[in-house]
Formats: sequence, structure tokens, C-alpha cells
Amino acid sequence: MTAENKDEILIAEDDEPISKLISYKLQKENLETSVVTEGDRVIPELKNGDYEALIMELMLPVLDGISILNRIKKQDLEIPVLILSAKSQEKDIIKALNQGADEYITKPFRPDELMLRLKRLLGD
Amino acid sequence: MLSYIYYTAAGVILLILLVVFLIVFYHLKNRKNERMINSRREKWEKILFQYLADEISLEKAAAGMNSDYIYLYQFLKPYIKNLKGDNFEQLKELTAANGMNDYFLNRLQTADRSGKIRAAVFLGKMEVGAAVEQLRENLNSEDKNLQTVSIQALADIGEQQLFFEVLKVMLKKSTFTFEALTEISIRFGEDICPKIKEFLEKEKRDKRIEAVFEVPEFQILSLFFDIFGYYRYLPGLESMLQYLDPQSSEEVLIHIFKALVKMEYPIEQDLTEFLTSENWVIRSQAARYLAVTGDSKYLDQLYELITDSNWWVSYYSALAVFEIGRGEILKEIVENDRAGKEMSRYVLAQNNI
Repeated sequence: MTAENKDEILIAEDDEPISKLISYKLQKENLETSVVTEGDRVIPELKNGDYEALIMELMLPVLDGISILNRIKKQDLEIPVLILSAKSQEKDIIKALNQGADEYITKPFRPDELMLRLKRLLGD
Repeated sequence: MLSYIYYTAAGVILLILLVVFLIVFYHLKNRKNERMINSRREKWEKILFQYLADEISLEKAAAGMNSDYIYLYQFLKPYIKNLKGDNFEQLKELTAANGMNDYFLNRLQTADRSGKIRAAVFLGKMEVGAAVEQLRENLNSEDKNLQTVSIQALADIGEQQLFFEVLKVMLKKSTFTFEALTEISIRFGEDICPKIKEFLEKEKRDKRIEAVFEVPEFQILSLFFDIFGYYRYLPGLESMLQYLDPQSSEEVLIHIFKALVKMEYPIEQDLTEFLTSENWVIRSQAARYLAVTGDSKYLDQLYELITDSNWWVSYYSALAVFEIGRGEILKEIVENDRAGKEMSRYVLAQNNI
């Protein structure tokens, strides 16, 4: 939680307009957001911050989303993960869910749906 | 002589100064331009987010985003690409209301080559029906790039009435790969399936497929069955199964089985001959289909095929046997050291057994 007692969400997305749109939507719902654009920043950020959930694109530069999910699992970082990815094939979805993702939304997406699924993950 | 050297030196210095001046001038001009565009993008971003969140009206959003359409299109691209449903409809309403559609409709007719191409892409992405006639004319363009983007735009608009016409152009005049042909056809939407079905029913009587499309029959049929498979179009099953005959083209048979795998629908037709086909792709796809439907009628044949010399035939047969026998049969092969034990072990391990 932050000083204002708001839940903070980490967004790992290299497409800036999309991360800004998601941040806008989340902030309207009284959530704090931080954004990382490269895959290798996700784990350090999760360790240093106090995040309630992670929204992540699978195709990130430097380190891909599946490898990040793998590291989250190995390092026992207990955080709900919502994948928001342009990868829409069944095998990609199954792979991500098997690696520990809790939700999977494919792009193109509806921000409202993202919000609903995130709230479910947060237990609201 | 000395004055000649002075004049030359002065000329060179002046030239250098002029070049430096021009570099600085254009650099500053670009920076000014960049700052202006960035400030517009910030303004547009605020308006767009508020509009998408229903915080401001369409009219207000359109009034705030009604200039610099080329830059505006660059700005909107990620949202056009990544949003769907209500939000995408909102974007469509916005570009209709703020004059962007009209601007690009005009450019589709009057701009230079690159302007027409950009306009065609935009109008396709935004599904602007008013662009159809001009895009249709572009199908006959000598400019291959304009022709290609016009085909894609018509597919994005979902102009199903023109599907066969566009398909003929794609087959005859363009250099699309089979995969690209399938991908673009699919972009026309699911409603092309009944048209294909109707065509195949007529084809059963008329046998005109090659005359209509001027390409070998197997290419068209393979494409149609890929489309049926993609949309899991069960009403088209009967039209498709009329070609599930050992005498049909091998290519067509492979695409039928691939479609059947996607449809996951049991059929009554006897598949024995396909499981013994000389073509390993047909054998493997038939086994793969049985792995999906789990039809125990072919268990003995599939059991034999586990030892097939082709890895894929062996794999899908073992998978089908697993689906039919819930793993017990494969376990028995491994425990009794029978032929096919390696593949049986592989499939069991894949299923965490």
C-alpha cells in the first residue's frame, strides 16, 4: 500500500500509449500505478515495491514474459499476474497460465474488461 | 594570385557558414515542430482518455481533435490497433465526427501514391464503408502496393459482397502466399462462410471452380476448408466432407483434416483408408483428428501406427490411443516392453503419467 493507502499495480508494457491508457483507467479506480518498459526491470521492481498485482505484456524487450513468470514462481514472489498480450494463440495462453499467470487477456482488448478481471484478482 | 586565393577562401568560408546556418535553422525548425506535435499529442491524449471513459461527449472530443489529421492518425494508431468492442466503436464515431474519415476519403482519390496508400490503410482499419467503391477500383491498379492495401482494407471493412471478386484478384494479380491469402480471407469475417458453402453446393453440380478462379481446384478448396476450420463452421461440414474421398487431391485431404481437428466434431465417414495413406501427412492428420474425437472404432489401427516410421504419425497415433484408452493401453505397452514403448512413454510423460 502507498501512503494514501491505495493499492499499487505494476504495469509491464513497452507500448507507451497503452500503458498510459491503462494507468489512466486504474487511477480513476483509485489505484496507484508504476510502469516498466523492459522485462528485466520487472523482478527487481516487484522486490523493491509493494505491489498488489502485475499487469504484463508477454513480448517485452530484454526479458520475455514467460521467463518472468518462471522467475516469479521460482523466487516465490506471491503476486497475482494478469497477462495482457498481443499473443492470442491457444498454446501461448495455456503456456502462460501453466507458468503461473492468473488471468489472460488478448489484444485488442477492452479496458473495462481488464478492470473487471483485475478487481477480481484483487478480491474486490 | 594572392587575391584569387583570398576570394576562394572567403567563398569556402561563406559556403561553410551557409551550411552551418542551414543545419541550425532546420534543427531549430524541427525542434519547434516536434515541440508543437508533442504538445498536441498531450492535448489529444487527455481528450481521448476522457472520451473513452465517457467523461466528455463525442462532440467535445471531436472539436478538440479536428486538425493535423496525418499526425492525429499517427497518434491514434496504437489505440486503433489495441482497442476493441465499445471502445473501438467510440474511436470509429470519433473519426467520423472530427472530419478524419472525410479527409482520408478525399486523399484516397486525390493524394499522391503514398498518400493514397496511407488513406486506404486508415479507411480499412476504421471500417469506413464509404471507401468501398474507390478501394474496389484500386483492385485494378497497376501499383501493386496500392492494390495490396486496398485488398486488405476491403477485408478489414468486411465487405463480404466483394469476397469472391477480391479473392480472384488475390489469386491472379498479387503475390500473396497461401498463408497470407487465408489470413486476409479470414479478415472478411465469419459471414463469408455461408457464401463459400453456397458456392461449394453449386460447384457440386457445375464443376466450374477452375474456370471461375483460374487456378488449380486444390488451391481454392484448401483455402475454403482452412476458413471453415478457423471459424469452426459446422454448417459447412457436409459441403467439405464431399471431398473427403481417397481420390481427392492430397493437399485438399490434409486441409480437410486440419479443419476437422479445429471443429472437434465427430463424423461418420470411414477413415480407414486415410490412416493407411502413403502420404504421411494424411496419416498423421487423420490420427490427429482421432486424438481429438477419441473414436474407439480405429483403436487397433492406431495401435499399429504407434510404430509408424514417421515421428508425427507415431505421435498422433499414440496420442489418439491415449485419448481413447485413458493411458492404460500405453502403460501396458511400456510395462510389457512392446514395440512403440518410447513414443508411449513420451505421450504418458506429456500427460504427467
